[in-house]
Amino acid sequence: MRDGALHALNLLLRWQTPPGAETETDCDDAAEAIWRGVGFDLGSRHLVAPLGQVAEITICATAAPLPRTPAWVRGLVSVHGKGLAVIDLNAFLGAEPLATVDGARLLVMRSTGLQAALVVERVHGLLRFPASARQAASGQAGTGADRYVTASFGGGAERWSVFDLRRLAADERFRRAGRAGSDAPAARHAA
Amino acid sequence: MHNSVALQQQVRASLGAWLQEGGSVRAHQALCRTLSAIADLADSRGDPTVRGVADGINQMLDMFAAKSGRLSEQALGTLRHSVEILAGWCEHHDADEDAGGAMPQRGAAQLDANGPGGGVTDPRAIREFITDALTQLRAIRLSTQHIAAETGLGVDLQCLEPALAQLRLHAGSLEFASMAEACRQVERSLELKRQRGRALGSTDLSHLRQLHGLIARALDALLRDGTLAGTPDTEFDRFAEAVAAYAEDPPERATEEIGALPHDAVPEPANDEDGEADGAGDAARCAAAADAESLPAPLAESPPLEAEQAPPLLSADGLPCEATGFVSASLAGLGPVPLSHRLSHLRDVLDTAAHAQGKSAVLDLDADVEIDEALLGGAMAPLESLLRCAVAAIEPASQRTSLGKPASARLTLGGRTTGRQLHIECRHDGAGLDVAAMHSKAMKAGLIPRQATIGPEDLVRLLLTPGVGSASMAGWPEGAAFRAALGAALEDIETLGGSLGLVGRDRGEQGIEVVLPAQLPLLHGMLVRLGAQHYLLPAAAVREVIAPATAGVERSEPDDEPWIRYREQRHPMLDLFRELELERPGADPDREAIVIVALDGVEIGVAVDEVLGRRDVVFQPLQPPVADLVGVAGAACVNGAGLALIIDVGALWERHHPRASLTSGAAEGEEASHDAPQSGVIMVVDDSLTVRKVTGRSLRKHGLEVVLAKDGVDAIEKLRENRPDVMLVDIEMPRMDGYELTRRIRSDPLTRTIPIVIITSRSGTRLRDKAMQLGAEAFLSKPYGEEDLIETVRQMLAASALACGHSRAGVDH
Repeated sequence: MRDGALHALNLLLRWQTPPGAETETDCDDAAEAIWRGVGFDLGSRHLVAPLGQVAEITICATAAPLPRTPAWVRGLVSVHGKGLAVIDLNAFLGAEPLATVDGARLLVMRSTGLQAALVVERVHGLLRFPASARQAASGQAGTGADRYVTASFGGGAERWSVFDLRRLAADERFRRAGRAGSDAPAARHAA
Repeated sequence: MHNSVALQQQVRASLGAWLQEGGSVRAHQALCRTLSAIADLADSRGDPTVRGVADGINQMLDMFAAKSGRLSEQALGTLRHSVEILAGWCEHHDADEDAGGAMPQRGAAQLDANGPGGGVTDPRAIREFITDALTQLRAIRLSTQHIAAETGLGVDLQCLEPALAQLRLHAGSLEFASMAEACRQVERSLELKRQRGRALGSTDLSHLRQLHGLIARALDALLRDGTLAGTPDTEFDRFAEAVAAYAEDPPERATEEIGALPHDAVPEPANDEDGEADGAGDAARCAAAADAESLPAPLAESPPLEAEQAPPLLSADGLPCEATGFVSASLAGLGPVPLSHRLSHLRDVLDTAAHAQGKSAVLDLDADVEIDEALLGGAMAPLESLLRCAVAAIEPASQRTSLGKPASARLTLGGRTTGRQLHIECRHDGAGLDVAAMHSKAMKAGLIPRQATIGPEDLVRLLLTPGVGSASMAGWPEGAAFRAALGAALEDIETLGGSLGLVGRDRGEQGIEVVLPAQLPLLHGMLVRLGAQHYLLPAAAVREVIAPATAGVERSEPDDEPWIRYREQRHPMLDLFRELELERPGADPDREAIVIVALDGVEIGVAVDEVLGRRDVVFQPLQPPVADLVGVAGAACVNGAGLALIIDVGALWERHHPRASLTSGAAEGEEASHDAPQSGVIMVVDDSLTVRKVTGRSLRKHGLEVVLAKDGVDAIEKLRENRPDVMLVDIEMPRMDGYELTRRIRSDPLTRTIPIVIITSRSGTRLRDKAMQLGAEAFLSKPYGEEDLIETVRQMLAASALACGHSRAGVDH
């Protein structure tokens, strides 16, 4: 995404109602309801986060590393004067940590009581789908990203899986990133 | 001739009596007699420093009497310290007498030769001196500001003179002879001016500022090196000479009068860039920064003209607190400062910006507001950006004339506070923004939902959105400049936790409003570098910084539990690199600095690659998902270093050294006290500092925790955070007396069971009855002895333990 487009998207995100269920649709005037979300790539997968769950998209700043956190916590960055924990989503989901690529962006989560941003490979910007095209996910028992996928749109190479950031934020493992070190004090550094 | 050993005991006892009796005439006279005996003895031994100290003490006693019995905590500290110096001198002198020689007068230059461990380099004395000197420097700086602003000359001299006297006294007591002399000369020149009935002039102000700068720099050196060895005495000496010469023979010049200086042109002392660890280049830079005002001829080393154009009030980034010298940084939080104090600086910024674009504009302040100085420092950069915004919005002169506007644009600043927020508005009469056009453009682009309410902050976002903001700026030649300045301001303001909004939707008088939290959680931090990362250590805990390759640092063997020994003190070391999981390629003990951090019960050392100095930063606690991270208290944005983590050294230390081992020292202390240990928290409420101190000390000696409050209001506040086991309450106090306090404590369910001991100097039964009726448990009559006090408190603790059914206090009985 170009900077201008990024800016416009952020403006749009600004007026979204605070975290809604991913099933929320925007049905103000059209005969057919439209589902909107922010599309991004993770590995080879196309994911889309519900619009109301994303606060902002920013470029990747260098994060200050946080000690005694899991490898998927990249550190802390400052966005609008607020410290956000930067989470390598790929690594959190059990895959390789994301290599630093040009298109990488931070997807700032809109979540109460949580200040986190996800590093993603590429942001596609605003995506719209007819609400009727939504296909519910097969089941809850997925692995990796599938654990947080609640639905999908389209098929084949143009299949977009709806990634529920609220489900991610509720995940105990995710929420307790800062506790990882305190459970086993000094274990890593035993002389 | 008096026996010096007898005098040594006598002076301590006299001070004790004087403090105990709250400066009674008898005690005052006794103390004065002892002081003059010591001074005479010193004169006979040819030691003028001691006479100076004794004179200083006398002066403080007079001040005390003049202020009807009130001395600041610092003043009392200085008083005690000075008396200790005299007592110490008497002791030394006794030894000298045996050796048959007078104690040599040691100047600051000799200090270093005396080496660490000498009485003067006692770190505690130095710390006390620094604390005291900081207080006095603030007083000097505030007075200087007020004198420069032509307000309340008389009042300010009243603050100024004691501040100078105390500085001189304290410096003299530590044998910083040159500094003491410099203070004395400035005092004297002010005194002479007053005697001659002449107004203070710009030269006097310049002297005060130079003195401020010199001392600030000396303090930085003192903090860094533990001695004044790095400070050239000659500067103080030359300064003192220059002042003396001026005082004797002031030039008759009309330009001397006040008014020649801008209000806020008080220089930031020691505004050096390289941090405290680098001593070499400081002197020159500081001299330039601190003395950039017009210097008297003998001292003028930097060209004064240049300095006048740019008073070094703010560093380039607009943050006075970014100065890395400890002293200058500590001075940052001076408390509230009116926005008008920065007006001339802002006008300069406006003039420069307007001139660059061939425009002309005037800036007025229509509502002043007081802002915490540290916060104001941070807000300067965004305010400057907003002025640049306004300049961009001003139409070219030709266009203004055709619109019927005056050729020179008018900008107004206005400030106000609402609740916990501070608003500063910057309005202009330049070209207005077409808000409606911008709105409809954004709507068409689908960026704004139809029913959305667009607030002032949203308008700023819209303005910054490419393709949307420009819609409101049809016909603006400098729309891009406007947006760039607005973006810069927004970024700075957000760092301070504030926001920007566009106010005034009509094109007439639009403006940008800055909203800041009135009280920011400011942290004084010590910025350090480890590898490529920057971290902040809370400055309050930092005791000392040992520069790389400092001589006299002894280290443990590689296989030992690591420690260093410096100035007779052994400090265990904490490996911060390992704690923070940082790579450390080839540690070189000669290249690392060591920061000594005081924790509860132990002073530990941490090695860092570089110490960049003190910073005032806005503290941000860590939020989930990374809250509760052990050893990281929070984070803060630091100019030039990005986001820095604030390290909780204590928590890291405790991971390896659980608290039990830390408190062993305290336990020993308890055992040493002659009675069975009894624990409890005692709140002492008394408006007399002496009573608070003496009582507090007695209680602590017996292993009790003490909370002090200076009157009823203070006590109520402290009760919110502490629930004491027993309260000692004085009756006569300002603001809220003991009766009212007792009544309130008894009427609050949370505090009603706390035993209250009323302390009173009167023993009338009427007073007792009244207090008993209100619910007091016991009485103590002033003056009371330590035994009575402890016995009463013990009884109360035992009773309270029984009553509450918990045996916190009575467990050992």
